[in-house]
Amino acid sequence: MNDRIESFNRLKPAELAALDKEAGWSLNADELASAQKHFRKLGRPPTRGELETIAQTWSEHCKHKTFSGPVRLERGGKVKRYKNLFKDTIVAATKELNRPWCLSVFKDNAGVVEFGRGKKWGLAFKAETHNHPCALEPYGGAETGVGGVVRDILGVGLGAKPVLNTDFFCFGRQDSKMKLPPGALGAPRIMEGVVEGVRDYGNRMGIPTAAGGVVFDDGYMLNPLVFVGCAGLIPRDKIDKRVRPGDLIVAVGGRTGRDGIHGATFSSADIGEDSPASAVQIGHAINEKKILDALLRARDKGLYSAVTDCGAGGFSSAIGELASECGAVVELDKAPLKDVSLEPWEIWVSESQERMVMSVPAKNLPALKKIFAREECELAVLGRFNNSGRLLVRFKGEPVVDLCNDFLHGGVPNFEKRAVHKPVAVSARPPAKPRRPLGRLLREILAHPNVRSRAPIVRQYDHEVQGGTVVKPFTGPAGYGPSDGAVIWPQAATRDLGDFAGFAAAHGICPSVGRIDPCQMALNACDEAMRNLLCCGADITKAAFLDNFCAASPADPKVLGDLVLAAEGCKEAALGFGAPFISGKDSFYNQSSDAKGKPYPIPLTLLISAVAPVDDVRAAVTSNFKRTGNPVYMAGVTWRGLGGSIYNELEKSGNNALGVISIEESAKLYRGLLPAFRAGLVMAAHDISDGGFAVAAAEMAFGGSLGADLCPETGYAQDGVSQAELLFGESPSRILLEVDKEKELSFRSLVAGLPVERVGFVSSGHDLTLLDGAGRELLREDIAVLLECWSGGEV
Amino acid sequence: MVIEIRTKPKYAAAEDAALLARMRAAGLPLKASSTARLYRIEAEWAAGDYKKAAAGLLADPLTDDWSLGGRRPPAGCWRAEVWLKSSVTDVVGESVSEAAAGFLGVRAPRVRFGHAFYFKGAAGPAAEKAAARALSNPLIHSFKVVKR
Repeated sequence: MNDRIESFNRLKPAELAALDKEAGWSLNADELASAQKHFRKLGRPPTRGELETIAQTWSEHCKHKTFSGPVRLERGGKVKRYKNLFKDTIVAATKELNRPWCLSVFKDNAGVVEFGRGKKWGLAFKAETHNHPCALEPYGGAETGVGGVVRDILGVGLGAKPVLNTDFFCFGRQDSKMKLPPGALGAPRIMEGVVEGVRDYGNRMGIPTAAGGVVFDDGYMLNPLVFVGCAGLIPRDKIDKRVRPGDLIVAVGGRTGRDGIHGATFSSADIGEDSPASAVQIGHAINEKKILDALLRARDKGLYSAVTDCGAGGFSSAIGELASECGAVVELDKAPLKDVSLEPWEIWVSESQERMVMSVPAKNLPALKKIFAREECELAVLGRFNNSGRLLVRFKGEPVVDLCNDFLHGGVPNFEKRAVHKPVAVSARPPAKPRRPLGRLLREILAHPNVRSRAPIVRQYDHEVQGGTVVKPFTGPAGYGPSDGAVIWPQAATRDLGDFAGFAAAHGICPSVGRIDPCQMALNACDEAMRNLLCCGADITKAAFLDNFCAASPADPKVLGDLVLAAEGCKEAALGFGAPFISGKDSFYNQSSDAKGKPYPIPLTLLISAVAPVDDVRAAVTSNFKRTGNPVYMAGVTWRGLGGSIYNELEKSGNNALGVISIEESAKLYRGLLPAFRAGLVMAAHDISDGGFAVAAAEMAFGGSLGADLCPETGYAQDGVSQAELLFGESPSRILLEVDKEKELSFRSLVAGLPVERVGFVSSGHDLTLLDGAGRELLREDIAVLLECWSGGEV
Repeated sequence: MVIEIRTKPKYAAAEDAALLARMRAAGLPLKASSTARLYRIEAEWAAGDYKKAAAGLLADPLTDDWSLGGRRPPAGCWRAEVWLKSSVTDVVGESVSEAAAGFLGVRAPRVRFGHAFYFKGAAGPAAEKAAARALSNPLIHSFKVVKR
């Protein structure tokens, strides 16, 4: 290969493409031509290190070329152009909202919002995907995904203390009989490895893993999606960082090895049998814990000016980013190595885990060394930041990289991409009557993989460590009820036992809706996340979103078209709810070839993660019924449509219309309910989502070990709505609320004018009874039986 | 030298049942199965040091049994070993290497961590292939069958 790199400037396009494939850079023809033009202008060939640096810096993983590039959307005979898809949609909403409590958005490793009383703290939140590595090696991929997102929190500002890990997975159905292509791992194997990886890393680092979820769909059979998030607390005066020319470049943490080489560029390619083994990374949670402890002590002593994590692209990415506004000279031979046979360019781009890079004033080095030595954490001075505007990397005096920042960070060609959207045919005809008895249907829906208990996953996680998990994954006297989110009291970070300020974290995701309408998917996901926050008792007027888009190849105009509509949905939801996006991530090329060699893309998937303050965690709300005789209310309107529902998977209703969502109406409803939560009138709340009204009621009932007699027809509903839609429809923006019977009048006066109506009462019995408008029994089920179905027992 | 650590039979029921279920899900109808942890120590230690490391560092005296060298499978069983490939970072091995320095006062330059699996029942090339698929990832692991 070296001879072709030597003659790089003379290679023809086909030869450049062949070289790119062999080297694993994932650069496209335009990017290769741009690099060639640059080196022709310099009058010298590139080095391997320079081409590796360019490939890493320009990778989809690091540069987000699709989202930050121009797009032309063709839809319904009309054309709409975006100069920068991300800035024109998601960032635009955040700018327009201009919330003063947003302290750092879209410019650092995580978004930061104001937290707690006295405005002393910022809450940093970030969610990442680690999809491609998990498809190859689930355990290592998941572990290093968690390690990476924790380092994002350590690397935001001058470092935040992690207080919560989140996890959300999309896997193939565990019972799928689909024939897999050679080399692909089966769905159970992937799930087992991923869960173990998330468990081991979070548990060993002493960070609670609490807010999560899982979706099973055969669309993810070859490309699982693994979303891992982390929230941390940072003192407000530590949020700003700035590299100072003259500062030392200091690497801390693990040694550099061959593992993880080309992880960043690998993310810009489809997965196949020939995917590189070297892209697999192996995590070491204890090493990261050492960094965490040392880094936060050094932060509090003010020993460094900037810090960032070594993620995808390794030193190339971390030092390249820190030096992008100034310049740097790096001596790679100073890097501690696990494997001394590494080529210099391999040291530069290796993604060995648990490493961070800091900008350190020389006078602080002795004190910094002392702190890291106490944790037995290695530290090495790799060079110095300067004002040259160049990135100069050497190994034993020999040049490895010599690139100007302008070209490296501004030279990636950005051409307009074509996006098209063709709507899916929708049938809004009245749904066919269910073939099964309604009770049997409820039991089967509760046992559906996308509804049933996540206990086999959740129970492996330590969600109690740090002693601040107020609303846990399961609620109720016996811990049987599912929570809508997690509420965290981060006293381990604030060390203030007199301040009960906390925060809620929750998610929204609905890929089945995305198959019908990507914009509706985004609106529904944001709505679900907001509802979940509200159900925990959070102050949704200060909610903030993270977006995580996952899609197949954006080179397919249809994939890109769907993505554009989803981004538009995010913008509409953010503006409607007044909730800014503060950070986000995208992951493309989630597609493989199936056993017959045909492309097998994932469905477009958007995970919305959300946080909001809980003013007093002692007043947090959970989903389980609390007291016999309390009235149960439904907030929101049941609309016609069974599109994307679990019901439609079990019964062929012939209706795939989506329930109407109006963000304006939803926002009005949730803000209208907030005073009732604040006044302590709501004793339990649960969002109506997968499985509809009947499932939400069942979960509240067995969560509280109490029965209920409910009539969904008495709630607000669209004219002509069918029994199936009332019971099992998943139209958005609906919540079931248990209200304190002694304060019902106060509740009614607070919600007057809103679509909120009583649908029944919590009962002393052990049955969930659902009635029609005439008082006839539609179903009566023992809550112990329902719990058994939900817990994986026989239906 | 390979040190093998096994959970004592009276405490291993859950571990064995989980492995059996996993293998059955992989299409291997076994009669019994069990697992062990392997540590390949590459060091110039005295013989007593390996014993000390096995008994005092790697095995829990209450719940584990240990042995030095590759254990032969019991009658009617076959044995498979799964190791991380030499190019793959082995964090357990690194930790043991560091711990050995503290425990014995002598560092092991290289320690690799692996697993041994004992199977009774289905055997032969098809069974070995199914076991390899279920228990290892060819990207990072080597899989070796040891027959009696």
